[in-house]
Formats: sequence, C-alpha cells, structure tokens
Amino acid sequence: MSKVKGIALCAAAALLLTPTLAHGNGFALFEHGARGVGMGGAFGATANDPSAGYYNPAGLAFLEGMQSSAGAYLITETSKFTGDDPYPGAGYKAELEHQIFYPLHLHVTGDLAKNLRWGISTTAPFGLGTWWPDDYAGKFITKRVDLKVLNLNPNLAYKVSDNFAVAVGFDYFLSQVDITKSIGVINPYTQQVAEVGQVHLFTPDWETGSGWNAGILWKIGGGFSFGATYRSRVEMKYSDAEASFVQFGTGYADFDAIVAGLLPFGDNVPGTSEIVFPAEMRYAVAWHNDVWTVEADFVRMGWDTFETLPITIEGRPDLSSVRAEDYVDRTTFRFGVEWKTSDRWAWQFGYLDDPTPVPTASVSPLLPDSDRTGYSVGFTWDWTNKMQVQSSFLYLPFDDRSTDGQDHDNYNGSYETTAYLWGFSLVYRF
Amino acid sequence: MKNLRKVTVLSLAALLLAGGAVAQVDLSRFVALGDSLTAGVVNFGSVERFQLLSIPNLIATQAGYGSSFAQPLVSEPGLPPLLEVKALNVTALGISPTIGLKDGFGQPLNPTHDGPYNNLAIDGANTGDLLTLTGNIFNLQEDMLKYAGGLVGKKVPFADLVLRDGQTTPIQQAIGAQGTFYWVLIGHNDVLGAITTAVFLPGVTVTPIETFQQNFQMVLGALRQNRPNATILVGNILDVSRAPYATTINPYIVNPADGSHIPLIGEAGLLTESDRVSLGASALLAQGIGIPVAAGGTGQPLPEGGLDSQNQFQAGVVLRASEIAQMQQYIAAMNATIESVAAAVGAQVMDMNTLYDDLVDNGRIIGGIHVDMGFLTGGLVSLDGIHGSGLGYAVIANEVIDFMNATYGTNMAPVNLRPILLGESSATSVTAANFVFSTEAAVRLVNAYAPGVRTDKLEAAARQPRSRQRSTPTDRSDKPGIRTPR
Repeated sequence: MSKVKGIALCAAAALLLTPTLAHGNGFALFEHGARGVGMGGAFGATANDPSAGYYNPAGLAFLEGMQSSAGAYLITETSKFTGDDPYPGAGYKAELEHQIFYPLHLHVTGDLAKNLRWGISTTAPFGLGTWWPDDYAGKFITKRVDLKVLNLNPNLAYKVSDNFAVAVGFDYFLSQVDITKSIGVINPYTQQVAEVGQVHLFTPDWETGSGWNAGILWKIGGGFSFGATYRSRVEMKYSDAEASFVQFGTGYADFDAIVAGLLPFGDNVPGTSEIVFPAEMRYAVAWHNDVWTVEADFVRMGWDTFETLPITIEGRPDLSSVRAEDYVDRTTFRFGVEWKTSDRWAWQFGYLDDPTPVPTASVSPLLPDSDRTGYSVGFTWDWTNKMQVQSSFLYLPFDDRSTDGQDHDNYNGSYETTAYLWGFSLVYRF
Repeated sequence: MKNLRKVTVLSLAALLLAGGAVAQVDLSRFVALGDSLTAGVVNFGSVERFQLLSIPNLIATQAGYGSSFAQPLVSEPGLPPLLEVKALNVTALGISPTIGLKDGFGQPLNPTHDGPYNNLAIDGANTGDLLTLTGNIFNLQEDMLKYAGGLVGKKVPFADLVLRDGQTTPIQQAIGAQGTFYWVLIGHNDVLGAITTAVFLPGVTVTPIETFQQNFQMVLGALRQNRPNATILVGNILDVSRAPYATTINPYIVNPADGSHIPLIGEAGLLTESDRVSLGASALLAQGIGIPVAAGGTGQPLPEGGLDSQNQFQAGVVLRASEIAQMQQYIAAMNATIESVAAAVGAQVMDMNTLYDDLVDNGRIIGGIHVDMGFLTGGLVSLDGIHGSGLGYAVIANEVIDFMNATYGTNMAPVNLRPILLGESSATSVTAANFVFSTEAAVRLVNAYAPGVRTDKLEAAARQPRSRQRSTPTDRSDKPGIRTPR
C-alpha cells in the first residue's frame, strides 16, 4: 500500500507542475492512457487495462492482480488569428505563443476482496493554457490564461458476474487558475486608450471541489460489450484567489499619479472566481475477437452548466466582471480499432468527431475553440510479461472558426488551430 | 480617377445586387451638407487629422474614394486652435483638469481645390445658413480674428474656409457639385444655443420651430428639385440636452461626511436633482460660486441666464428641468419635420437620435475596452463636451455604414477602429466632476452657438475673488462687455 501511495503522491506532484493546453472539447482533456487515445478515445466498452480507471472503472473489475499504468502526453498547439474590421482590423494577425505541455496520468488498481477491486487514478481532466504576445490587440481581454485541474479519483469496482461489473468512485478535484490581462484607460491627453497596467489573478494554493462517478460494463456475448459511465459535474469555487496589479507609466506624470491612486498597485487584493466543470456521460459499444477490437463511444459533456465566468475583486465592483460564456451540451463521437498482429504487438487506429461547446459570441483569445476531428494511431508492445509499452499519436485539426462579428468583447476575426499530441503509457503488472 | 472607377463599379455592383425593396445608390459623387458634426470638428476646432475622421470622409473611404473625397483641410494646431488638456491637477477635492486652447492658428491646406469640396459642412451653421450663408476665402484670417474677439459667430470664418467664392451658398455649391449621393445632417445649431447659454428662448437662443421647418423644407426641396435622381440620406437631430456639456457636472455636491447631496444654488433658488449645470459653471464652482457657505462656498448663486437689468440677454450655466423638457420637445418636433419632409422628397432618414441615446446610455465595447460618452475619459466625446472625438465619429460612421449596407445594398466594410483607439500613433475612471473648463472656452461656445448673447456676466463672475461676500446687484453699464453686432 505504501508503495502505491508513494507513487500516487509523486505523480500528483509532477502533475502539479504542468498547465495543460485545451485542445479538446471546450477545455476538457481526454488523454489519460495511450492505448485509449490510439483508439480515438473509444475505450469505454473495452476498458481492459488500468486506464479503465478513467474510461470505465467497471472494467477494473475484470483485471487481475495489482497493475499500474503511468504515462504522459506531449501536446503542442498552433493557433493563428486573423482580424476583421472594425476591430482589430482586416488583415491583423496574431499567433499563440508556442508551448509544449505534458499532462501526466497514473492509474493503479488491485484486489480488495473476492470480486471487489480498488483503483486510484490521477488525471488532468481539464486544462487550459493560452498565451498571446504581450502587445497584441486583444491584450485588454486576456494576455495569458493557465488553468490546471487534477482529479484524484478512487474507485471501487465489483464483478457481479463473469459478464457484468459495476463501479462507483469519488472525484476529488484540485485546481489552480491564473489569468493576466492589460488594463486600458482613455488618456485625457491623447483621447486614446493607454495601457496603464496589468492585472494578474491567481490562486496561490490549490482550490478543491468534488464529484462522483459510476460505471457499468456488460459483456453481452458473441464478442460484444457495452459500457456506460457517468461523471458528475464539479463546482469549483476559487475563493482564495488574489489579484495583483502592476502599473505601466504613460509618460504623463500627473495622469500616472491619478491612475496610481485609482488602482491598488503594489498590494495583492483578494479575489474570487468560479468554474462549473461539466458532467460527462459515456455510452460505448465494442466488438472483439482474438485479433480485432472495434469500438464506438458517444461521450456527452454537459457544458451548459458553464454559463458565466465571474471574476470578483473584493471591494472593487468596478474591477469585477461576469463574463458570459453560455456553453452548450455536445456529444463527441469516437471510433477505434485495435489489431493484434502478434502475441506481443497490437496497433490502434482511431477517429473522433468533436463539436465545440463554445457558441460563436464566446469565441475569444481566452479559448479559441472550434469543431475538430481527430485521427490517431498507436501501438502496444508487451515488452515482458509484466510490462507493456503503449504509445500513440493524435492529430487534431480544428475547423477554422470566425467570430462572425459577434464577439462579446468586439475582438473579431478568425482562428486557425491545430493540435498535435504524442504520448506513452507504461503498464506494469506487479 | 481610379478611385472613382472603383466607386462606380461598386455602385453598379450594388445596383445589380439590390432587390426591389432596396433603394439604389450611386456613390460616385458624394456630397455632404451639415454642421460641425459632419465637418469632423474635434475639441472645438477643425484640423486635418480629425477632419479625415469626419463621418462622410470615413464613409467615402470605405466606399473606395481613397484621398479624392475633398474637404477644406486645416493644418495644426487647427482653426480655431484645438482645445487640449493642459494639466490634470490633483487637489484635495479630487481631480481638476485644466483645459485650454493650443497655441497658434492653423492654415488652410487646400484652399485652391478646383470645384466645391465634397464636404460642404460648416462649423456653426444652422439650417437657414445652408440657404443664405456665403464666404470669401480672402476674409478668412480677418474673420477668424473677429471670431476670436467675439465679434462674429463661428460660422462666418468657416463659411470663408468652405465656400470661398464670396457668392454661392452651401445649397448652391451642393447642387453645383452635381452630387449623386447627399448626406444632410443639419439643425443642431438651431437648438444648441439653449445648452451653451442655459436658456431655452426661441428667437434668441433657439430658432423658432416654424422657421426651422420652413428652412429644412427649402433645403431638401431645393436638393430634390435640382438633383431629382440623387440619393439623399438625412440624419435626424441628436438630443443635445444629453451632451456631456450639459450632464457632466451634478446639480449638487456630495457631503463627504455622509454621502448626502447638497444642492447647488442658482439665481432662481436651489437646484433639484433633475436640473443641470453646464460645463461653463466649472470655473465658477472652482471659486465656490453656487456652493452654500456651510459647504465651503461663497453662497453666491450660479447665473441662470436670461434678460438682465438692462434688458440684455445674458448667458447662464443652470439648465432647469423645465428648460430641458422644452428642448426635448423642440427636438422631437424637429425630427417629426425631418421625417415627413424626407418622405415627401424620397430621402432616407438615419436615426442619429436613437443612436446617440444608445451611445450615452450604453457606450460600446471595442477589443475589451468600454468606451462611452463620459467627459474626459469616456473616449467618444471631445474636450468641449459637445462634439465627438475621432473615435466617436468612427463609431458613428460604422453605424451609418451598417445602415447604408442594409438600406442601399452597398457592401462597405466597417472602418478599422484599432489605429484610432490605440493611436498607432471602468470601471477605472478619472472623475471629472471637479474640473476647470476655462471661461474663455465657455465663452467661445456661447459665441459659436448663440452669437449675440452676452457673456459679460459669466466672465465677471469668473473674475470675482473667492473671498467676496454675496452683494446686491450693481449697475454694470459703465463696464465693458462683449457686444456682438446683430
């Protein structure tokens, strides 16, 4: 047990370090096991390795002995913005700063009693990291956003019969948020906007929230299986956030003095925010024989609970805001195929169709989301009887997304985004 | 020529695309008639960098004119020299910005332009002036000095600048230009005198409504008769009683001890919450005039305006709620006339009145920045509290472009606001409640919009030393005042 705890804590610590770029469904992430990703994320009715802790915990009930799966994804994304009139103007261009993200995952599972198994998964189910150049034209909306979410998810899986299992689990979310944007005020001398400073809202400590999850896995017969899982929404209140303000001089000393008197430069002011992370419902059906596995999953995210992003700076209603988001529920279609070419090798191929929950008016430099399709390929290699190496690559081109002149902040134009993900998992059977 | 060809192609394309319900439009000869709002006056003066942001010039640029939309351009520091912020003084009471005039005088940059300018708008002109005003470019310098001395109204030197030939009126030049598309926005100077003098008095500060109605009918009638196939787009009148010049200063001061409102004092008694004080009062308030003694003022009343003891009309700074109501009724009557005359001559009406209310009530968000009609820091209004800023005109031009696209089937892109907003070249706000708008600037405003109205009382009040106690009115007949020839 202590070995397991140690591993879990190390993984948690490692996961703490990395914000993750949103390249999925809103700011949801789905890369929690290389084999599952190789199959386009369609793994909820197969769920036969420790990553079932995410894909369908009921699948843990059919595993034997203590097993773990640990891994990471390297994710990079390019996003190019081209402006429209009247702001920031036709032909204006800006590009996201290049970053590489590496969300980690760790799943451990073992026997608890006859037909009863435990599992603990640590994953990053949501994340966002959008960094724009310091001087771009949308700096008064956002400069940098980092959102980190960690889920510590213990599960209990019970094998009701040789063909049917159920699971239930608890989701413990840890999250940090970090938003930086410029402050613009009309300078009476020039009658134009001057960048008088910058505000940085951040959470010095991890904030927590919780939810629950459940799953069933039914091996129907004839090679068919059916899985269904539910993960509840999680309300995350960032109640101990802080806002720090930095002033930039404008060259007009008396104007700078006035601005200095109006904004709390130099002090950290308490602030709060809130995000409601959506519930997830997954229906999965698979067929397999000794060589082939074919699966289709339908994953519905209850995004309509993410209506607003409130940012409150204590005692300063003039600096606080409620950002309308109005996301909508969406269903992603995932399809995967696994081909066992030998005792030790298998190849995965996947496809996903992922419509965006973000309405046109909410498309912004905070999250330039769009409909996307994904194409994946991966392999698993049983290196030894105890160890399996999994690796997969996912190519995720987004549809070009225009704000159609509707952006809430009147920052209009179109975004061209592509994400590339490569990851690996190491499965160990103790 | 290339631009005109582009424009003609655009117009032909528009004609082809336009369905039966959409009016046809040929933008190849675009002529504008109007006042300072059409001329692109910013900070009370005309200067090239803001004239290029005039509403008609912006529309013409989006329609493909390039630099061939001719306007009577003026060099820095403008004619008259533009207002600018001299200092933002931080005092115990708050921020007291000092606004005054730039040094020097601008010069006309293209006085020998061949043919009428495309933009024939004249700063200070009222509706009747479109029918009668003439101007001679050789008198510009002299008339500008006379205007600076308060001897003539602002429209006199500007008629010289715009009309130039000493013979033809704005309507004659507009017809002579053989325009295919006319923008007409006129009438604000028929009513603005009520704001700048703080008295609503038809025949003195405001054109009698029947006279306005007749003049407007004649302007549009003459245009339509002589240019039967032209498209005419008319703007209606903004509710100028909502201009920051009339709404920035509260009719009370706030008691710092408990936040209660202490009403200011006018000659006709204490001001109520529905009364208004114009920017012209700021110099007086800075000296304690209008503020009760108990609140640290002199107890002297702010001038309300009206006939003085010599039966001369004096400007004031207090706008009573009843006067504001009268102004609003008057503007409603003007707009009803504009609506019916436009319909009769087959002109379209752009509802500037509703647009202005929206800008005052809601402002706009541009790239995450909220801009509005707040004085000094709102971004959309000039330092004179009446005219738009360059950004204000650009925002309005985009609304007109939207209207033209919807009404005429034109396909003009909106104006790019980024360079204007950010000067490639809240929320938080500088409170402008306590500030000094120079008396000189206020007097110029009175002279511009209500020539003939006396301002010696305003100026005398501003000159009084702060410690002076309230005294009985004295005979001022031996004192020099500014007399404007009628």
